[in-house]
Amino acid sequence: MNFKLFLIIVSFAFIGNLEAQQNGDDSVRSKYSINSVAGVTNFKNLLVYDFGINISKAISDKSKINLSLLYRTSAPILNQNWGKYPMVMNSDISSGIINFRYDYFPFLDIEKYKFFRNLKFTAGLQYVDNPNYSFKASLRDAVKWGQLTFSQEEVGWVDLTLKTNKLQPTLGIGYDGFFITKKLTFGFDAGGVYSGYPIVKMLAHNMLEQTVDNAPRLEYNLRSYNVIPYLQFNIQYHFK
Amino acid sequence: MKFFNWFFMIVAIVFIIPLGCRKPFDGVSAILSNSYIKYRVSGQIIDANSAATNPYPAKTTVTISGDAVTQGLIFDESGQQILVGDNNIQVTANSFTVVVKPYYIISKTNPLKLSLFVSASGYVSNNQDFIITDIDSLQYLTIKLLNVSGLPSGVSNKVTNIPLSSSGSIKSDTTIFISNNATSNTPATQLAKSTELRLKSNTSFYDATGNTTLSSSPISFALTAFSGMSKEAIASITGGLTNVTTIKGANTSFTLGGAIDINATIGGTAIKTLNQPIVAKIILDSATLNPTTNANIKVGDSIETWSSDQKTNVWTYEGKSIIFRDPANNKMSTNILINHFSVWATCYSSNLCTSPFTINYTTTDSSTTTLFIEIVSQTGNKQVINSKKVSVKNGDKLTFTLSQGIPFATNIYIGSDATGLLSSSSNFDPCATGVTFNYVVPQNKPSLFFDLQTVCPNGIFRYTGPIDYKVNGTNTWKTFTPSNNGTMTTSLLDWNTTYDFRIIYKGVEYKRTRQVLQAEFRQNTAGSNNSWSFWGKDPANKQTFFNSPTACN
Repeated sequence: MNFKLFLIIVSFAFIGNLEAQQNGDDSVRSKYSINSVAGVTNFKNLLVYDFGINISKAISDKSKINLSLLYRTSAPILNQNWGKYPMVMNSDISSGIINFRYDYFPFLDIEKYKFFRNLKFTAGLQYVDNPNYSFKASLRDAVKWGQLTFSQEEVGWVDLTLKTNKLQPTLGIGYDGFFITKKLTFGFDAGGVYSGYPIVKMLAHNMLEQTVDNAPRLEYNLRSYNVIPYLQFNIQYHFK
Repeated sequence: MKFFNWFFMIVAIVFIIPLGCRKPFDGVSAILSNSYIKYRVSGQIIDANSAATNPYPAKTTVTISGDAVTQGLIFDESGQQILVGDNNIQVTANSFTVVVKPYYIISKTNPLKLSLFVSASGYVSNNQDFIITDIDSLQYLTIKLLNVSGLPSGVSNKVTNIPLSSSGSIKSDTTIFISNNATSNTPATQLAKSTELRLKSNTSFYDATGNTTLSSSPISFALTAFSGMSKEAIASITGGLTNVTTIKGANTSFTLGGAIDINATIGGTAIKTLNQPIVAKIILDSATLNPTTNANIKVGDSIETWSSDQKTNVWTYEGKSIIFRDPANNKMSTNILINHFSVWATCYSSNLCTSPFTINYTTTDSSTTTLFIEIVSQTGNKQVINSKKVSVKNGDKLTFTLSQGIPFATNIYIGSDATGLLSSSSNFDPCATGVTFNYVVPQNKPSLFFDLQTVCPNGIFRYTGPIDYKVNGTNTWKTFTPSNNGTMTTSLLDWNTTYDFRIIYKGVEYKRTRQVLQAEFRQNTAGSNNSWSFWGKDPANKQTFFNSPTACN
């Protein structure tokens, strides 16, 4: 929750910068560019990081295509309460991603507000090699039984996997061209990835064995999470 | 600025949309079960007389002992370690449960050996040994106590006082007759008429420290005779006769001819030994098996004499006696010489088979089934060699220690005792090593699934452990299908019958009475046509048949 609010605030903070770009040159028309990309996907409170490189090619005055090779990883721990039990969820998320994206710049010809020339709408498709969000969840606190205190190993753990689609369409908006130098620009993309309804697989061990009964409920709850927001930042080098 | 507003409004919406969605872990709770208990022993203490009006002795006490107790491996269900000492087991409604320390691994070759000493006011105390092996996840024990005023068939009791001389010895030759107790369970004609004890004059007595008793108070005998012709009598002998420990070290099993338990006091002092033996004439069933000849006993055969130390359950070989036909009643008999007071048995010992007999339980039914398995001798008077009450599921293995040289039969009953439906009966050669028993649920019995989860303020509790049941209005609790993580499938119930159910958990008895109404069940789509799940009266909301104990902490 806090992170999303943070993103919104940051987004609005860009307003000042955008206005400062209003008189800048067009960088969109460069025929080729190569980008370093760093992005974040927010799957509920879990931050999933994508980073890699992107190659762009202008295919018309108002559009370009992009091919990105990305590597996905995540924050190591997600803390959640499962009922009244605080759980520590150690994440195991890693994957290669190939992303193909089409960018369209509808305002490229406007004269009054030149800044908006670099505003774009994007649509794409990405292939995620390992589209699983895997976690090993265990109770944060010790469990006591009479005179005995069970170790975390004895209490057990839950292997939780959220399986999404390998092919994931994306839709978003973005901005190319906050100039750093003549050939180097900074930009961002934001939008949503359709990853399909997550399929929950749960395997629980020892005392937590029956927690698997919650899998259908979790899967039901996660049906709201078939579109996952993302935000990507990039630094582009333009070949004229 | 309108463009800016639109642009950033889109950005904001993209990120705000998920904020309004369901939280992923709403309604998702960690479920802790007590399945960490891998080895559980559930005991019930009942009157040895199956015809007793009240089968439950009052004020029972149980002491458990053995190396596993000393080593701190035995706990109660609340997680309290059972300490060495008298009456160290909490008994609730004549039942108790002990568990092995969670995550302790029992060695295949070194099972835990434990002993129980059970007593109750007005009843003869009982010692029972039991073993927890690595495959005994749930073991049922039924400890039978003899009520001296209401004995089962084949068991008789006599309390008598014999006057003594001023020097504390028997004044003249004296014979004590212990008439046998025939009940409806065993025809009187099959029971020994009486056991005789013949005391010679000048027999004097010694207490536990070996001191001669000089009191002229009469000697008071409390005598209990057990006939080898009665299944209930054999089952009532303290410590049992199967896989017993002997003073030589090797275990053995007995084919019983007869036994007598002798307790004596003079002026309140327990008497243990005497200066000359008492002759005890034991009447034998003519159909008693002589395992050495693999035929019924005959006149001139010899039969062994053993005595047991009631405190340790260790048997001592005392010699042999000759079988003769008693001219008084034309019954097979033998005379044994008694030189100390304890339990004496005239019987045949048999070495144990080197490999246990294993029953591999298979079934296509997904449920756990409670079985009573009785292994009897094929020959002779078909004495019970071994028996077990178990709850089994597909793939389970049951092992039995049997005697060498005795062909046997297995009788498998559905339910917790031999009153259940006889599902299988097969014969085997001595020391057969195993058989597969494939259980097919009877067509007339519905297979019923129950979800017994208990919703607690801090989560969901799912009980794992034994459940008792009985038809409403009857007296004796029987072992029901156990709950495994709050779920249970059983084929022990009949439609429309009202049952009492109980769970004894952490020293509290939880009882429910429910009628099994077909209208409250829904037919399962998978499985046989006669497979049903409990739903309840409310068609919109599934209910719980009965709550597990609310051990929400």
